[in-house]
Amino acid sequence: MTGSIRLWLEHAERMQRIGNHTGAIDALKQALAEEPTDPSAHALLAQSLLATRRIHAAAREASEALSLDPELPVALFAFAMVAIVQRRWDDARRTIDTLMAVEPSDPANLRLAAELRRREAPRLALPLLERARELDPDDVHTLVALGELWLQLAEVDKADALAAASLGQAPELGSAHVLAGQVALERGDVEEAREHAAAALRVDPQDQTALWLLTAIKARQNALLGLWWRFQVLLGESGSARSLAIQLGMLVAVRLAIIAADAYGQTGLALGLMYAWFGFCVYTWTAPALFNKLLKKELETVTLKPEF
Amino acid sequence: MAKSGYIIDDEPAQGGPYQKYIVDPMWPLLAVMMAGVWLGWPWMIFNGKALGSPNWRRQAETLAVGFVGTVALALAIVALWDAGIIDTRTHVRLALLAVTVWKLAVSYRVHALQSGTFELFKYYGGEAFPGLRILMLGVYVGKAVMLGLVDSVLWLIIISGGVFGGAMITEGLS
Repeated sequence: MTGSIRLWLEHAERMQRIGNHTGAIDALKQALAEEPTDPSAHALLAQSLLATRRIHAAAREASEALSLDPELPVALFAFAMVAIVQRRWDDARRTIDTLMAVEPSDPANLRLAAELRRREAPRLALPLLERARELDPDDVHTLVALGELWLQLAEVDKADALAAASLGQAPELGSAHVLAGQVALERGDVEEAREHAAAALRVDPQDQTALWLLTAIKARQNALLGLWWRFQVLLGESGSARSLAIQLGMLVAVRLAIIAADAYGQTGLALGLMYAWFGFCVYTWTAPALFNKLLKKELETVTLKPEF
Repeated sequence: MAKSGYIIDDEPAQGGPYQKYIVDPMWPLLAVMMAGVWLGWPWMIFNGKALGSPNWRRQAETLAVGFVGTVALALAIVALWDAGIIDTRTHVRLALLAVTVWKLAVSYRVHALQSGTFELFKYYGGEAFPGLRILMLGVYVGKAVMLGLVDSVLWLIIISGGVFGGAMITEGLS
């Protein structure tokens, strides 16, 4: 590794630490322009691409990193992260097993293993996170991960305590603010949730979880637009193939109902269904534009940190 | 556009002679629904090329499979009609629903492949061409011209839209 690549990598890691993944991507592209076969650069790039939801590209970079060095921890880590997001559970499990064999006592690896376990059975993730906390009691990322898990398990008080502890240790950590915001939202305190989302976005305006939180707040404030957002969340959670199947399935169901109504002489009902479907199409067409407008207005009030 | 020499897999190519004609992939998708695949699918191919989509080849292959599948479905429907197996208006509408779902599935897939690159194109300051004009032209002028080009139900099934156009074909068969 030449000196200039090392500098680019260090710069990228610094950018990642403050949550500026766009800056990290630019730095890693510079590193790869100089040395296209550097596995660490590919792996770090995969992580930043994933953070900006460029999943397909992240998968390519993670695979490239792993093909260049199959035992490099950062490459294994990136590959497992992508596999979890893409719901490739077997790949994720296999890669995390390899990673844990290479670095069994790294809290970050334990958190990743817990992230996978959380998708299967949330309670099974608890021992992994407790172990990570034992290894490094001051690791704020572990506290946040534990808080998120407790929130998922509907233990709001425990999540609240961990959110407070995380913010006490790292008052500017975006993920700690997001956790605190989620807890506040769960308790019905929309204003406090909004403040935490804004605090996280001040650090990184592209923080996907903070944007998600802000969107959830907006959805709660506006029932009509919130309905569209919940529909989108349902589609998003399903993965692209299932989401396509759901949408086409809805179209088929409505068309079949219209054809059946027509065939049985219920023309009024058929017409009603057609209008209802048309209305739904218009709603799904206009709702995202209105929703984005609301969100944009909210984001305009966020002031960025100077170092961003 | 991207400034350094390394190109990430989903990044649009820099420059290109057709860059000023790049549209939001939503417009070709709407063209499939409202005007027909005669407009929507070629437009998707062109847009992918103009964008410099790294997965343009996969988009083109998907559309080629889509076209072959549409022709096969259309031939099957006409053959079933000739054989008297499909013999009522309801049968025809159900059969056409299969073609609609097929066309939309293919179009959504290509739209999903193109969207990521388009978002990056916009992120790097790219200006999109207004696709509405082309769509309107296709719906109000092109559609009538294309549907009347060949007097055949097979032709109508193949080129018609993903959502609209079923009534005309149903009338043609029955």
